[in-house]
Amino acid sequence: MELSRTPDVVVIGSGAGGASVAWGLVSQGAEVLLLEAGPRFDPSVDYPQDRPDWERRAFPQKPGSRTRVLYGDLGILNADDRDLMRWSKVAGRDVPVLGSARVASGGGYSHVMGVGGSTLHFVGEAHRLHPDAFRLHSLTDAGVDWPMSYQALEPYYSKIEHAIGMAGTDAGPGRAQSRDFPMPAHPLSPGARVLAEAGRKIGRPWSVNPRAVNSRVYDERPACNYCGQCSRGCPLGDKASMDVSLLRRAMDSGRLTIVSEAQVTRLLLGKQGVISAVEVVSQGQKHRVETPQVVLAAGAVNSPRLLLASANAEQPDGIANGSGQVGRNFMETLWWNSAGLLPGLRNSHMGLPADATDWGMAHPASVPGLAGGYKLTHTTLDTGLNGPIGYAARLLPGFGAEWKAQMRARFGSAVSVGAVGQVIADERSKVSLDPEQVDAFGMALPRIDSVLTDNSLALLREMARGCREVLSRAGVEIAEETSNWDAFQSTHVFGTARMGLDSAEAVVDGQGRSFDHPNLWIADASVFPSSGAGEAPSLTIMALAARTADAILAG
Amino acid sequence: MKRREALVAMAAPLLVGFQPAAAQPTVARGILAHFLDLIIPADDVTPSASALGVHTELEDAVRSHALLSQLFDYGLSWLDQAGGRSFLSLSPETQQAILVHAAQADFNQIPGRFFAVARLLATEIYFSKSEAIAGLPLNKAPQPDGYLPPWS
Repeated sequence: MELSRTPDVVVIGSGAGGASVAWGLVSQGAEVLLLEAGPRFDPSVDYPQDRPDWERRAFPQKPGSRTRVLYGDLGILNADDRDLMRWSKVAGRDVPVLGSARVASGGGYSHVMGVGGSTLHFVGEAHRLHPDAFRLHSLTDAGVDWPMSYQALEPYYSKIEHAIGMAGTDAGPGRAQSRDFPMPAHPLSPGARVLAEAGRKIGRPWSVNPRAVNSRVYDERPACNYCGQCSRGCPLGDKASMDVSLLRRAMDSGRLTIVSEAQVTRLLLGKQGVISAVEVVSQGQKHRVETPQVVLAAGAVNSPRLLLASANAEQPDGIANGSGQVGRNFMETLWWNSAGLLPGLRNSHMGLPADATDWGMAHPASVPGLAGGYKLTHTTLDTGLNGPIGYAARLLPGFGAEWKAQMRARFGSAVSVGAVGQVIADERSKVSLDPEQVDAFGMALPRIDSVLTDNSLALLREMARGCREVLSRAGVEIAEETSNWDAFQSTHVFGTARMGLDSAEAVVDGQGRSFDHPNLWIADASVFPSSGAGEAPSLTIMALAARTADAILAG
Repeated sequence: MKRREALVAMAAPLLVGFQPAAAQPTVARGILAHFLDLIIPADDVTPSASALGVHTELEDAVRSHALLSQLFDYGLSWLDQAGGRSFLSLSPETQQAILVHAAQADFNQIPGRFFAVARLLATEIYFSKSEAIAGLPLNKAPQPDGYLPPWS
C-alpha cells in the first residue's frame, strides 16, 4: 500500500511548487510520496479541442478539482471609482449599486486541484521577477523585502527553464540570464504585431513573451500547433504543465509515488516541534503517514488553511504560526483588460496566446508616487476572442442579417491588451478558517478577505491608461473593458505564509523552512513576501521549490 | 463561474418579487423559434437558428433552471403582447421594430434582460454547430490541425 510506507519526504500538492520540489528531490536520490487532493486529468480525454462546440467548453471541472472557498470582506465599491467599471458594447454597463460590497465572480479564486495543479489551466507564461522586485520595501517603503536576491535564485530559474522547456528571445529587461532559453521564440501573432508597431510609435516597446510552450520538439514533447486553447487544457502536451513535464520526469526516476484524490486533513506534531506524520483521507479511509520531512505546496489558500486547521493544544493558533502571520498578507493580483476591433486586421484569432508583452512598467517603482508596477500582455486569444461566440457575446452587438454579415466581415480583427498589476499586502487582506462551515472531510472552509487599497485603485487606473494608450495608437475601436475593481477574481494569489529573515514577522526562512518546525517546508506562492510587478509567478514558484529541495537534502 | 451560472445570476435579481399579471407562458412559448430566427436568420452562407435546432436546445437549457425559465416565460409573454396582438400575426416590420426596442431596452427591465439573455444563449448554441461557421476563417475545431503559420 502506497500510504503504508515511510518515504524520505511527503509533498502535499502537485502544482508548480510540489512538482518542482518532488523533481528536485528524486533527481538526487530521495524517495518521495506526493499527495494530491484532486484527480488526474487525461489530456486526450479531458481537453476535447476537436469538437465543433469547443468554444462552449472551459477548462473541465472534475469532481474534487476545486476547493470551495468563502469570501468575507472584499471591499466597498465607491462612486468615485466608477471609471473602473466593466462594460462592453454588447452588454452595456451592468451598473453595480455603488456603496455596495465588491463580490467574487468568475470563479473567484481561480485554481485547479489535480495532478499538475493550476499549471493545467495556465497559459504558460513563465517569467523571472525583476531583480528589484526582491527589494520592494527598500525601493518604495511599502511591503517587505525578500530574504534573498535575484542572483541567489538565478541558477534555479535557469535550471527550471531548461527542464520544462522555454521558448523566447530573453527573460526581459534587467533579468540577467546565465543561459539562453533552450528553444527559439514563437512567431508573433497578427494581434501582437499590431501592438508591437503601436508600441514602437509611442515609445513603449513590446517584445516576445517568454513561454513554457514548445516551439520545436523538446523534452520528448511535440511542438505547438497554435490551436490557441492553452487555458482550456493543452491536448498535445507541448505546454509544460507539471503533469507532462516535471512530474513525468520525476516518475521516470522510479522514486516518486503520486497518490491522487488524497486529501491531507492535518499535520501531526511529534516531539521537539517536529512534524511526525500527516493525516490523509484516500478512498474513504483515513491514514496516518509517518515522514521525516514534509513539504506543503497546496497554494496560497489551501496551505495556510491546512496549517490553521492543524491547530492543537500545544499550537492553538495553528502549525508554524509562532509569528501569527499564517493566512495574513494575502495578495490578489490587479487586472485590467481592454479589447476592441481593428478595421482591416485579419486572422487575429491565430497564433500563440499571450505571445507578446510590454515590460516597461514591470518594476516595483515604475509609477511615480505609487508602490508596485504592472505588465501589459497581448490577450486576444487567451481571453477568448478567438471564436465567434466570444465576438457575439462581447464585441459585436445587434442581430439579424446585417449582424451576421458584420460577423463575417469583422471576425479576426479583434485585438485585446491585458494588464496585470501588483497588490501590496494590507492588514485587512487574509485567508482564515470559517468558524462554521466545513467540507466533506470535516475541514473548515477557507475564507478570503481582500480589499483594494487607494494604492491599488490608483495603479489599476494607470493600468487602464496603459492598455487604452497602445490600443488607441493602433487604431483599435475599444468595445469592452473589464477589471477586478467590481469583482474579485484572481488566479495568482500570494503571501499567506511569507518568507523572511525574522521569525517574528515571517513563517518560513529564505529556504522555505518553517521557523517553528525544522522538518516542515513550504513551496508555493504563499511564501512570496511580495508578488512582483505583474510577472506570472509559476516559474518563480518552481525555482524557489527547486532551491528548497536542495536545502532539504543539505540537511 | 460557468456560463450558464452567469446567465442565471443575470436573471435572478430582476425576477425576485416580479409578478406580471399578464404572463401567459404556454401561449407565448410557441413564438420562440420565430423570435430566434429574427435574431439569427438564414442567409446565403449559413442557415437560421431554428434550422440548426437552436430553439430546442435553448428550451432544454432554460427549462433546467427555474429562474431562467421564469425570465423566458415573462419575456415571451411580453413579446406576444407588445404589438397589441399575437407576435406571429404582426407584420415583419412591426416584429423588427419590437426586437429593436428590446435590444435597446433597459437591461434592468424584463424586455431588455430577456433579449440579452436569449441572444447570448442562442448565439452560443448556434456557433457551436459546424454549419454555422461557414464563411469564417475557422477550422471546424482548433484540433487536430491547429493554425500553423504564416497567419497573414
